[in-house]
Amino acid sequence: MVFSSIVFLCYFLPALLVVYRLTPDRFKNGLLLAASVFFYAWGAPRFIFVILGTTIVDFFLVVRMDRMTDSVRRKLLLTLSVLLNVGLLVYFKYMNFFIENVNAVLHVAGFDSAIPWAKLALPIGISFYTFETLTYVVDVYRRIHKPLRNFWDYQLYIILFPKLIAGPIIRYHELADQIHGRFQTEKAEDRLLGLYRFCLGLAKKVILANTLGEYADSVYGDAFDGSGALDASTLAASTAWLAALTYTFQIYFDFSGYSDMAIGLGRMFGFRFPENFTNPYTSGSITEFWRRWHMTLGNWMRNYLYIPLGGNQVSPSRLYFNLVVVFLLSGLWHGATWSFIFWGAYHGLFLVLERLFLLKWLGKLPKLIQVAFTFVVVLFGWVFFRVEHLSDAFAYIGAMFHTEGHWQVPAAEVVLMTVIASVFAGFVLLPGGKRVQDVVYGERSLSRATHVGFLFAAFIIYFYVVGAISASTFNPFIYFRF
Amino acid sequence: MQQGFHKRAGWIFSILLLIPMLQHMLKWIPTQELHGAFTKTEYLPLSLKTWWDGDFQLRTDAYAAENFGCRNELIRVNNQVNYSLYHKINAAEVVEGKNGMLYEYKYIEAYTGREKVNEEDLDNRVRKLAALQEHFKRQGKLFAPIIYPGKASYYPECLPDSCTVVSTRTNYVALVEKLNATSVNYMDCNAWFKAMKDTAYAPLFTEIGIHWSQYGACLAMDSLVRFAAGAMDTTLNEFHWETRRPPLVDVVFFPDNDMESSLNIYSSLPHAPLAYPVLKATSQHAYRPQVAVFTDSFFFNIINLDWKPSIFSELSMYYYNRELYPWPGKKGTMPSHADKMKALEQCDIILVMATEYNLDEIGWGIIDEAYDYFIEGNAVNSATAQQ
Repeated sequence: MVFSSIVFLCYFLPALLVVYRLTPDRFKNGLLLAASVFFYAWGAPRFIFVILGTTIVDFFLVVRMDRMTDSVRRKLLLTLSVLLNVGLLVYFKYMNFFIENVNAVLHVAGFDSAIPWAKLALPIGISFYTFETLTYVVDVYRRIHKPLRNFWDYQLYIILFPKLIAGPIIRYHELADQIHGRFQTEKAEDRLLGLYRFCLGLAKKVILANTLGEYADSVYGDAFDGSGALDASTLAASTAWLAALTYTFQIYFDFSGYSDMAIGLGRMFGFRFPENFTNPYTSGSITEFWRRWHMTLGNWMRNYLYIPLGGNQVSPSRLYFNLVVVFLLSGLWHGATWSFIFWGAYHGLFLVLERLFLLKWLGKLPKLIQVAFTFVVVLFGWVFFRVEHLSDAFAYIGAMFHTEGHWQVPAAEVVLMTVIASVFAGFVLLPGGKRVQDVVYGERSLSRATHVGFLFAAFIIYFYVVGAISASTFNPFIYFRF
Repeated sequence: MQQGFHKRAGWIFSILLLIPMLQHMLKWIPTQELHGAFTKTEYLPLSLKTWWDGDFQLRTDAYAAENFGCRNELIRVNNQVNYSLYHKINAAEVVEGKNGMLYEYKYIEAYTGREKVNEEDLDNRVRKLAALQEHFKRQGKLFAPIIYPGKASYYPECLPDSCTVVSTRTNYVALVEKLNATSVNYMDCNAWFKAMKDTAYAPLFTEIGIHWSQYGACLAMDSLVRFAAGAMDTTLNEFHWETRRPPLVDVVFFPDNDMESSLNIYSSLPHAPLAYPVLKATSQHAYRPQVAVFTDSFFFNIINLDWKPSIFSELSMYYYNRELYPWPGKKGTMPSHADKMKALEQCDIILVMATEYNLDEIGWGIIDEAYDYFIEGNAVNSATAQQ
């Protein structure tokens, strides 16, 4: 189930909200767990059992590890748990890619036979689920937080539906105390603030991202014919640029919209999730961009990969190596294709260049130029992210600079949404922008009049979006033909 | 104080969110149906297997999206916002041209030469039409093709700029050329409508409909009866127009606004004043032929008028040769091939009628069927093949 579906918006969420409110505190976690299992099983009725099974093993491994004092044995159980979870991820997410590449190498080497392999379907949310199970075992191993005493509490941490499918990636110690402690700190206003945040995310996803994505998909789709070769005759440079721009906004508003929905839903049920995006397109460098983009993944990579590799406390060459490794793996985390790996390497390269000299150079330029430069670098990166094959991505970038093809006038809706997206993506740079954002994000308590206004806006957005989702699947013919 | 307000507000909003579910279950508020043709998802009952395979969830997603309460109104609001802000249309194949002119893309494809022209197939079809016409003529009957007008041909000046003519060799041009090269007697409403465009008293097509207007359909039917009488060298009852210049009115009656309806929006789109003639058929002649028409949707404008009893004794409309709308009577089941051929044997007039974009399929198989049965004499073989 996804948040932007009719089943979720018109049935699951309204029913759960009412039942949750009527349920005594001591049963609320049980209700949320049952709802989360149902939510996940709706989309992955078989894989839910894999999650339930591995969490049982994980839970008892970690409990045992925590009781141990012998460091070797502790490390052994840590390794076992990490292997179990990473193995699951590798098996489901990367085996297809691995076998394909091995077979390609075998073919090039002249072997006729290939490794037989039936393609696996990727279970939804496995990348997020795996990273959270890893934080649990590592946080307990590092003695940052005690393990949960109750298995069902652990299940709830792992499978809590608002963040299960697409994050934010919540580290164990960030959520552990909220599982029971939130009932003491939760305020009625949180539910309203959560609701506003959810509706904001819904609007970002359905109104902005979907519209921009439709245009980007049409251009990227038309750019490649059946064989995957770029059709340069139809793609004008201006069209290629606009599609790259709309995709740049689409991916931001899609992902940050989903994060807003998750954060808002969490807050409606009393949880406080970490922020995942803070205006990444206002960054003055790639280093800053990664502090603002998918922050929970960045934090995870820093705490569980970069620092264990030595972090900054190593020689410059080792530091650069660490950066590239972290970003290669970050690219691979996003998807099992060479394009994603290249995208990770591309960002890693800019981070190394910034450490070498680029950051100093950028520092001498006005902020607006820094932001524009970073935005363009990121935009080119998204071309690699969007296009499945590396060669196609390079061909597309080539089309962004050639002079042939016809400019296709985009629909008024695309133009308007691109303008709105640009304003929303950069308005915190304006005076008072941050203050407005804090109010909208629920960082401040609101007056009664503001609440009334926000409730009205939330109501309009919610039902407009429901209509938009439904209208997108309702495309009638004037009459039936045969 | 504030805490109480927050609680109340939270409850009120939660209950408001329940409206679509409650409306779905209880249907408290009467809603207006959406217009247009679409396929409804059938509910799949829950079972261990359907859940395990994920079929139940997929089907329920689709079913819920089509059946939640207030859906029709929410879709209309959405469509209205999109149309008002961007002229974005949420109906399959509907294209807005200049001056608010609505087209269905198929008509544009046909007019601009984007459809494939299969010369050999058209040659074959015209040859069979000629043979069938001759066969029925010998019995004092009429078997004739009728070409309906097409909106893109009629209003080419309002086509969107992107819809340029890519080939002048269209199915219409090719068919007319081939019919003219034979002795086939046919009626070309497409050319006739274009010739009348500047002098017609009222619009022959509306801006917001895809078929000929009611006025255009009446003119065409009037001429069609004269054409049939002339071709059969007989006399049929004729139409009597209450007035040839009925008042021009701003109201529009379905199906003159069939495209507007399919947009499912609240506002009415602008259109030129329309005429709704009142026709009555004279009854001075006793002969009332039995008629069968193999047609696309253009004939619906005609079949719903109430003059049929004076002109015809029976009228069977074979819609795309797949559905039967008999008069007298209501929509019936399609007869078997053998029964259909027997029915045609009883008919005095058989018309195969198609609009511009359907000309490559005119008859939808009936020309081949009838040729095999009446000309080749393959009654048994043909019937077996059809069954």
